[in-house]
Amino acid sequence: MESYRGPIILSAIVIYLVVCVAMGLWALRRTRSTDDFFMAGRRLGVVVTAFALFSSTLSGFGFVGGPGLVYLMGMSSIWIAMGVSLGWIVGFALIAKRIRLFAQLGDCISLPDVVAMRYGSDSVRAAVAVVILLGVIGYLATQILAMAIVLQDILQGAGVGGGISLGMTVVIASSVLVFYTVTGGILASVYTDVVQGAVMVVASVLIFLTVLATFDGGFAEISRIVMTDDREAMGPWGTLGVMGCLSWLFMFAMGAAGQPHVITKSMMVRRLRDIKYIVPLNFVTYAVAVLLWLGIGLAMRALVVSGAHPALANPDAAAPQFLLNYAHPLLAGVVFAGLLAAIMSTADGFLNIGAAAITHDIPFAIRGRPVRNRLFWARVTTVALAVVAAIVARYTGDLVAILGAFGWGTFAAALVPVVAIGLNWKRASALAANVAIVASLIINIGSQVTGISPPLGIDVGALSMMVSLVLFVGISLAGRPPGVDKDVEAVMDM
Amino acid sequence: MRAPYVLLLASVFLLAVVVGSFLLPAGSRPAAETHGEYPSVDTTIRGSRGTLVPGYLMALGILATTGASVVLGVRRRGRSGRLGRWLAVGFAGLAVIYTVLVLSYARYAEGAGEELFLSLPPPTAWMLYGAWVFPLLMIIAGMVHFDAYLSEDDEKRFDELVRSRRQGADRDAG
Repeated sequence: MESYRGPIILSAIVIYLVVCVAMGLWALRRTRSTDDFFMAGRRLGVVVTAFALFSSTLSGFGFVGGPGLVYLMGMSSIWIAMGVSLGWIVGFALIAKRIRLFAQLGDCISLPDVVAMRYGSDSVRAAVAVVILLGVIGYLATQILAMAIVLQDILQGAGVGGGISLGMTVVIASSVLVFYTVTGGILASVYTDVVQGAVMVVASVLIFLTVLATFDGGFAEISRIVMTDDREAMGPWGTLGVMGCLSWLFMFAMGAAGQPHVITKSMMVRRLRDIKYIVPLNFVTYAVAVLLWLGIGLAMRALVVSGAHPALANPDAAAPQFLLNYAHPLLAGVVFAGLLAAIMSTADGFLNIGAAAITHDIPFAIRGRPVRNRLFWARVTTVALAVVAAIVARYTGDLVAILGAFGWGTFAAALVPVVAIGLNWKRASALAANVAIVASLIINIGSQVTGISPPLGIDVGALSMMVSLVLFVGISLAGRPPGVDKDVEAVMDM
Repeated sequence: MRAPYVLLLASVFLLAVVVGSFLLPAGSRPAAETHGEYPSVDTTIRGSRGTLVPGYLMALGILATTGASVVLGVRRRGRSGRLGRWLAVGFAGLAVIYTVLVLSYARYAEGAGEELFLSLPPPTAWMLYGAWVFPLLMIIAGMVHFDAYLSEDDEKRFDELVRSRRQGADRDAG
């Protein structure tokens, strides 16, 4: 079996990619309108929605960047996972019901549609659409880069693509992604999400058991090895420190309610009461998937610092290296498919909302109507977005985790006040929304451009979200209460 | 006090703690460097002991901000109701867990905590088995009190609202 490791892993990947393509073709026959393309006809059930939300949230960051950060810093990055877990409650309270009600009331097909209806303002619609577009490019590039790195490792590990370049794997991975997203729209995305989510959950459990079996003393032995080398790495804050970790907690707990690729999927639920079962399913599936993140990261750190494995070239290699060297070939194949699944499930959501921003939201904000023949242009735009993101991915280096956090932070700071708070608070004004969005963009982009970041490891996304929250609530309270449409008011009272 | 004012106060407090912490002397800040033997691994120069107090205040600020937002979300016509109260109690419970976590870390930073609890050092065990899992209880509270979040009466009123809005739109189009 061991001698067939490469072909087995490669076969699992090929099977998975073929399933994605098949789903695209299946969904193509069911996608007849823009409502189908962007909103899946608003008929998603409990399991499909729950897996779509969970797998979009986890992303390649959780499966590649996450283990890499644990390997690099110890326990620090687990605060991201803790933030997301708390974020399911925030999303339940602030987003799940309200956004679904707004979407149905206004026949909305995108998040900017919902925001425009809530505030009665096309300037807020345009601002949100621009934020989405900026974040989509950065975040999509991260996902594509992660896909390419994983695929390159797989092909090289399987002895198939000895000298295959990162550029070539970017092309291969993007092509499959684009195919099923263009043909089947969001319908293909959410149903591939179910397959992807199931693979991720099963893979995470099996890989965690493999981690335990890799060391004679199980997880306790891993803890002891890591503590012997660096006691702080195994402490709750890792090597990053308390304030940096807590800034991640804040950014991911509150920030989850501002991720457009995630919350847009809440607009597609068939029955409102399904929320009751979707949220607990999200919590449990995400928690299970984090076992891979934690397990591989700590195991690789323990293996390296104990001298049992050579030091890695870079932290992002932690997951691929563990799978290639320590997991059973069949399991490695499933997990590699799971890694690709995690990445693709997030990327397809970004392609979808990015296409909506370009073909629907921005034209609507500028000239009061979307482009003609939207379904055609949505497909064309999806391809164009993927090409741009692939170019960005290819030429910005391999900082998967940092780019991923930048994308999340941008969305969180700009959209949490405007969407999550604004949909629940009648006093929130369009002026406050625009100011909060602009301030968050200035801080986030300014930090990236100038290279200036807050001290103590505090994430700039968390800091900008604090500023935008204060501005949003403060300006709304300082101004006169805005007039709210009576139907919108009725929904906000439910 | 009304939820939006609590949210504003909590956010301002959180921002003040974070910005205030920038003034801490460099010698008390946590620091790490590239491992001497393994270049892709970071290793600690100085732990979090010197920033534990602002860190604890920041944790309380985060819980207050998040908690106020959640209560704002489940309010109905200005009242937080049963579910809001349960969730507020949940966030208070989380604050207790974070307090114990910080105290446990203070001992760990002084060299205690060699014995592991379920394979983890004590403060990390509080983090993973306490702070991480606890929100599940709040989600269960949300399921139990789901009618306070969305009642059948709400759904009926909403269906009626959608119907009348569409009829109005059809009339305008006609």
